[in-house]
Amino acid sequence: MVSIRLSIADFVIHLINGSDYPIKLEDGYSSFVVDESAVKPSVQVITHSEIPASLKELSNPIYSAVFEGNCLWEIFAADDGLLFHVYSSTEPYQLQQVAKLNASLTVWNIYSAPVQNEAEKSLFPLLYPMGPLVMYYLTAKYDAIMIHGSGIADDGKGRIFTGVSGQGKTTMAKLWFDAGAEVLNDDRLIVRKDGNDYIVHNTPMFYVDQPRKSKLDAIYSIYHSAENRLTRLEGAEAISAISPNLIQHGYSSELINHHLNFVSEIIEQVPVFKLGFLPDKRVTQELRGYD
Amino acid sequence: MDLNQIAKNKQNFAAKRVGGDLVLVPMKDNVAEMNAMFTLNEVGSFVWDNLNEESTRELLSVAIAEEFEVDHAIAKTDLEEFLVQIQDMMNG
Repeated sequence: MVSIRLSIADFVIHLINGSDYPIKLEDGYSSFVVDESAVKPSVQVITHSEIPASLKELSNPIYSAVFEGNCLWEIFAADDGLLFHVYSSTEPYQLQQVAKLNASLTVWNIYSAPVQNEAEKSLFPLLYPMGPLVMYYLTAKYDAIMIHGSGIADDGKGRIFTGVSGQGKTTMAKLWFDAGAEVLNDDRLIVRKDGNDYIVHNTPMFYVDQPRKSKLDAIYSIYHSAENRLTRLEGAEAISAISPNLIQHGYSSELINHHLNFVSEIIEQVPVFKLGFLPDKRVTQELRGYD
Repeated sequence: MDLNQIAKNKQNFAAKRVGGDLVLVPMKDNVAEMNAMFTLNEVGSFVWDNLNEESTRELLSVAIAEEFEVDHAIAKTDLEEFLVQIQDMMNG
């Protein structure tokens, strides 16, 4: 396949094959493939089958993503943009991919070795975590944020329940599902501005799901509690409740300001609450009643 | 930590004004720590904005007294409270 277009959070990602190998996507992307050749892409992703030797040895990363002691990927400053080293999740510092992103955040070049897939060797340019990296820099380029949270659409009303791991995002999604609401996603969401509204979108995961979105009507910073407790947050308190849950690479003041500016605009329009909750259906009933 | 050191450390924070408050995001090893955000009230924001390497306690407290139309003694107390708060944050 020479070219693939994906629509994620209404961003069009144009994958262009610059190699002799076919390009493949992880299963979770399948529902996001579109035929929108007339639409100008938000970003181009050009795939290559060899990692240039000059890009393999880099030093002084400006950002390292470390999870449970393992470095998942690093970012390096380049004269004309950014360079990314993405490492194998099983072998420390074993290069999985190298990527270049131009300074205007509009063109990626992704280099990786082809891997055996069924009967042929193929390239997986958006192999995790490369796909989320591409999505993140779309939010950094445009009017958007990426956030850890459960997004639900309840009779046309969009709600985000955000919190760090263990605060009940998946539990909350299940409660709303049981209450008849549509679960957009229970982990990673993109919020975009659309005219006077904010729209919450799901993104491709490791499992197959269709693209989902809803107008955003409320954001809740959640935590487990001995009773259901809802408190409206304003101004700095609201920003402080939401911002720690943003997916963000805060190595530059430009990126930080982008996130803070976007969140400070959202809270002017979308109410933010602190929500302590018990894991039973009363919380859905009480929030519906509060509306 | 003296005033001069606090003024130098300001560069390690990203700042966003929200109404009368100022949200500060500490930068550690040049990376923002969004989970360690800090909010300064109106007086704290004023001191933050006016604090530089030439500042003295006397100059700042006089400026606070004039800006917020309070007694100099109250301004001095407010300034000291702010400095304790800001040092805790910077040592955080």
